[in-house]
Amino acid sequence: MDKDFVLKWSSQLKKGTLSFIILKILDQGTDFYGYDLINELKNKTSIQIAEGTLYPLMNRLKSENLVVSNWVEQSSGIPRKYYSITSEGKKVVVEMSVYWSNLNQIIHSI
Amino acid sequence: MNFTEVPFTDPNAARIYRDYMNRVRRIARKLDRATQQEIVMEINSHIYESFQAEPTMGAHETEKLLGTLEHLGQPELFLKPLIADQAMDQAMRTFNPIKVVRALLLNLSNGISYVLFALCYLFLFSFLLLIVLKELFPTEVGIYYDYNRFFAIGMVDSRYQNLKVADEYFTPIMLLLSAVVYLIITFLLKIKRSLNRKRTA
Repeated sequence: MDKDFVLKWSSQLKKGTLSFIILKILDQGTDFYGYDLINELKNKTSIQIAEGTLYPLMNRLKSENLVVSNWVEQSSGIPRKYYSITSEGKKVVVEMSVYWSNLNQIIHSI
Repeated sequence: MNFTEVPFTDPNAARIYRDYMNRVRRIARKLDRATQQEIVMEINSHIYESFQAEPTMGAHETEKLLGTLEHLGQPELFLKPLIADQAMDQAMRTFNPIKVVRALLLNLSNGISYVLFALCYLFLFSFLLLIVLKELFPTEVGIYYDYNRFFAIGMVDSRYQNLKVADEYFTPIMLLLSAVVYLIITFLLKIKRSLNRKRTA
């Protein structure tokens, strides 16, 4: 078995589905700050990412108006930037879920 | 909201932390002040939260911090796509040619539309450069044309000198071409901007 090929494929798949997973996590109704979101991602999916790669992704989701962010002061003096999903983001999650489900069905039917 | 440094008691940890934050600042310098601040504060917040949660019980501050920074990654790598995206957004908002060129260089790997913009800018600067070269090398620089056989702008081999056309109008033609390319770039940027806006509407 070509382990390298499967490894590359799974890594591309993870990368491709990361925005979907992040939006799904935010769609649960809780706001997350960056570090918290990474932990949630690790706990829910066991996907390991270089933590810094989350921020360009969040920036893209923000510029697509799928998430919004706001700074919240903390007693430590170091504020947290919380992300929450927008109504547009919620619609996109529904569309992505339908697509994902169809894809899954197709794969299973082959 | 202001930037607050993560406090460290160990001077080595403090130095490592400051070096890392300086790297983040250096990369973000290509963007406007507000965006720079936003990026620096978010990375700072991540370091603080991650450092607090680092599970190395009893470990030295420096070790804990190194673990945190290792998980976060090299800022030059992970911030690159973020900086490229932000630079393009800012360039499209301002139409400032310097910002556009800078953003294009950062975005060249991100798609065909950026390659198109880069080509337009290459033409624009080439036409302007040719005006300067014409002043320096008035006989060599020109427009060379032979129906269906040959077309060149710039300097060519001396055997093609007889194909030189419209030499007295060289500078106005280059200025006109520069203006046309500039208008095309502005038009393309406006289209891209309105497409982006529609996508997010």
